[in-house]
Amino acid sequence: MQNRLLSILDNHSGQSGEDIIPSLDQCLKQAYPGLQTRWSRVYGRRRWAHIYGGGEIFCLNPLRVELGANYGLYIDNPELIPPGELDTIIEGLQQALA
Amino acid sequence: MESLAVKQWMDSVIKPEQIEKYYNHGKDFIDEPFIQETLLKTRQPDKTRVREIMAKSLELQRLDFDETAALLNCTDENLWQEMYATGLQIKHKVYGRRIVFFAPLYVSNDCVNSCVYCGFRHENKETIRHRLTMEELEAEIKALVSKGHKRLIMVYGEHPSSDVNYIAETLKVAYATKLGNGEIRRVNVNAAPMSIEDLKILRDVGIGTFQVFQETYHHATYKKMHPRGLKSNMGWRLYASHRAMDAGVDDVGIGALFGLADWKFEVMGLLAHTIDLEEKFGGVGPHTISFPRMQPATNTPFAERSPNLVDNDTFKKLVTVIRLSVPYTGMILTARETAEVRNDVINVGCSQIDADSNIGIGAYSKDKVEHNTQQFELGDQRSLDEAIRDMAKMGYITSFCTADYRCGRTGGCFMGIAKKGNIHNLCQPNAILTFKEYLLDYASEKTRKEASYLIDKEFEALPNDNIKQTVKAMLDRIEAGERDLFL
Repeated sequence: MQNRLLSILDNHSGQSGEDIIPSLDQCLKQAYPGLQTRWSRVYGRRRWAHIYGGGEIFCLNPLRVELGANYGLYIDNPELIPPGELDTIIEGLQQALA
Repeated sequence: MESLAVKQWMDSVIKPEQIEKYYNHGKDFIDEPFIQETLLKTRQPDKTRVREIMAKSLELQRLDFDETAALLNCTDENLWQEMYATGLQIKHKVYGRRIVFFAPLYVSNDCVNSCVYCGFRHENKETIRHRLTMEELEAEIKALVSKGHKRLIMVYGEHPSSDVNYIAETLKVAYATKLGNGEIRRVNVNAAPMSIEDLKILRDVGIGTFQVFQETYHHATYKKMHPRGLKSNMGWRLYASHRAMDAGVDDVGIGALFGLADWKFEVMGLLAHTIDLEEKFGGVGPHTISFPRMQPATNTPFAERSPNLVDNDTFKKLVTVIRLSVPYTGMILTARETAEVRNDVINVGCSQIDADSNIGIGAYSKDKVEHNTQQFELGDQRSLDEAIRDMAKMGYITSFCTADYRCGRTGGCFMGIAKKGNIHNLCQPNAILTFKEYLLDYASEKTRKEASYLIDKEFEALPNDNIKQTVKAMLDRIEAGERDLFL
């Protein structure tokens, strides 16, 4: 998975996170059908501004992932990803959006 | 006479291309003949028609111009009673029984404008001018945090001494200041219209909502009320929210100052503004709508003799029509109004209020009212604790929730949830959690005694056991000392 995420980065060389995120999202959803995600651009100390995806409208235990200083991701149903793979994916996303 | 530096700054602010790019066929979105004609055509609406429109609002659909005009023209007092009840039903459907509390913080009152109705107008020599230093600002923030506030609207005059870079610095200070368990978690900004480039600076420091009130949507009245200064350019102001959206500040607040022009026209103007934003930004309209009424101000006689002043009964009606016209948008009822008026009008569908407000520059930390640094006079002087207790008596739970903009539920995402009537699924748990914090950290003994019942009541009203279990676990963690838990 990490390689697939990094290959997306290669294909979008020089593009902004906002441009890459739809492809990253598609990659995740192909690997884990039914995954619910919500991507944000992080501004200042607080603001997570919505940029892509919706996610479930009401989720009790979402996973909040900080992807470096500028981006954030909520996964409403992280249980769809095996625990070992989740760490690898987060690492890959952090590299892609660093 | 303005200094040369101020004049040079003023010459650099307005970018005509950032007005014209939003025009519809070369014109702004206020089509006055159309609005007047629609208001005329819908006079004497029959009961069936009004009830059909109420039913549409209850389905959380935004009304069209002719529908809003019909409601504005209703003269049947029994139907108005039904509309009041419908407004409250809509509010409960969208936001639940919670009322979000915030505090206004006036940061500077130097101003280059000459608004006829405003105590801050450039020519008003009786107003004492001041711009907070960062140290003074920190003291103000601490005074507000010590009362229990979590959300601010910071207000600035339009002047080079409080330009976007100054505003950005104040936001950083506001977010960085902490006191005990407390901190400000969301800072909204009420400031003059800016360019897209400047708005990106505010976006980058984490602004909450960017709020600009149009004051009046009526072109001739606007011109008369704003004879000089940057604010005399109506188009620059009309598209302030559009530019914010383009800059990535996707929560915007609009408003009209009632008392300047005909109230029915202004409601139609607010609707036109909403529709234009929705059409240009993928269905995302204003995050909040405000409807301040003009109030007396130091050395400002116009504020008390305008021919369009709105009485209490009419005010309740116009707030109701706004609620019905844009059912999914937050509505802000401020302490300009008396406690009596607020306790009445909140029941037609308002979702946010301020309390313990002190609008003098630097006045929170001094804990006194300073009329000659204020923009206008406040009507409601209740403390936060007292206002919360009054809300509790009316069955409303106070919320200090700031979760949405901290977990990516902004702009279209928030609006999508709100339009489906599902945002209360998040609002109610977050209200319970933040109210619990308030009761533990800031409430008086009397408020704890009289308002704590709301925690149990709202907890029992949560829709299912899974949610209850999650909220219960969070409440236990708050009891144990954790803070800032949210869904």
